[in-house]
Amino acid sequence: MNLFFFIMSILYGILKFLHWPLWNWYLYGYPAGLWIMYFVDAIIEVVLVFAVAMLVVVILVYVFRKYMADIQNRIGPNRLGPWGSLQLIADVFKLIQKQDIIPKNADRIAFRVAPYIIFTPVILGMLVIPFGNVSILQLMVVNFKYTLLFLVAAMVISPLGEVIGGLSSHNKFALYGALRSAAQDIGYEVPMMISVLSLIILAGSYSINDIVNAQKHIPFVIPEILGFIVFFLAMIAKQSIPPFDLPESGSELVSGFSTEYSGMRYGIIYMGNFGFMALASVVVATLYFGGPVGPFFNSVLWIAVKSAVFMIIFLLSWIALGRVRVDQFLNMGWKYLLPISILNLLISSLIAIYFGGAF
Amino acid sequence: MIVFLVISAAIVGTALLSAISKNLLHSSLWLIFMVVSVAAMFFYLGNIFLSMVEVLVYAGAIMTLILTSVMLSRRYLDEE
Repeated sequence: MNLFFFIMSILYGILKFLHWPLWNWYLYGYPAGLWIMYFVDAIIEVVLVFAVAMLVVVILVYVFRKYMADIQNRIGPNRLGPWGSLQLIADVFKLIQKQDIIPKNADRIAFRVAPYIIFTPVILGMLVIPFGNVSILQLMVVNFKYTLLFLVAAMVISPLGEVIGGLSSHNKFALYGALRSAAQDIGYEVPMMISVLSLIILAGSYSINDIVNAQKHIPFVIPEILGFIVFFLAMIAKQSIPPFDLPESGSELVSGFSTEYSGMRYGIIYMGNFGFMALASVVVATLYFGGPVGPFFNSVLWIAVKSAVFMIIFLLSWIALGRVRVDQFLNMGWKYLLPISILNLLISSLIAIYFGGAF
Repeated sequence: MIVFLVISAAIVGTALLSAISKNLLHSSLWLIFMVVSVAAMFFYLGNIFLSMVEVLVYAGAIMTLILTSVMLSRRYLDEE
């Protein structure tokens, strides 16, 4: 885990280092200390984003367990800390000290790499979200022209981790889980891309910052209601929570692609799932509901409230709904969501042509 | 210049590894790393759009198809 964290911060440091014109500074004779300052600054920002994401995940898991217990007429965690709020920390310690089991037939390298491929996109996606301003400080780690593309590219990577993890376990349940994960991935990804494309057309820019600024008067959910429905369903499918939890359907396959994982590796997959739930709710709140832009005033508070609403909706969908069949899901993806998203693309192009100045 | 050399060495190395490794899963893993390092090369050369699209199309869509076909191939299943 520490190693993973270290590699992540260095990667991000390199990323940030490259998009800033420091190479020109080098040519003009700026000292090397400035580079090191910049690198340290980048690493500190990654640490902050990582810490905030983990805090959100801890709160989310606690709320999920209490809420689920409440709906199912149970009490839920109630031993450690006030109202059982420290239960997750105890669980993490339990997972860390468990024996690290890798199946004998498993492909060891791929088996080890897969949880990180699932978890990394959460942090990478959190880096480009504009969380609003606190006085003059802008809470956005990376800002360049193509942040929306970066976000989508980061979100597209995580199903690869599921496929690799299921494939490398050499277990038939894991193989079925990986196969279903790939099928589901193919099913929802194209409509999701097309609805994101209509957002880009409407805002006239690839940058999430510009998309947020374009929603000053009207949030995009009003002209783009069809696209919002498609994107929301795709986000539910992407987290593989019910009703679209085909890759890890607990009653048919043991645990889908993560059957053979145990100990902290399973912990990383689990944290990746919940972290992706947090990321998905923040992304929906940012792209379709204006993020930090709200009525009366613009603040971090708005994005927190909006994304909390979506987190509750995701949790409710997880707890309360049943599961669709594979063929039903693929039918929905290709026969309904794809035409709806193309219709939405047409509508938003017409809006952009005729009312281009409104947004 | 150093960054350019490092990234191009990574591209060539991962491409070679993906071509010569016997295991189909390993070679597709190396292919993912190759795609990501090609994206890093585009990023370094200043074309951020192309690098994002590279990750999106190749690492996202094409690699899922390749992994699916690896999953269903007789050769990989026989190695168990």
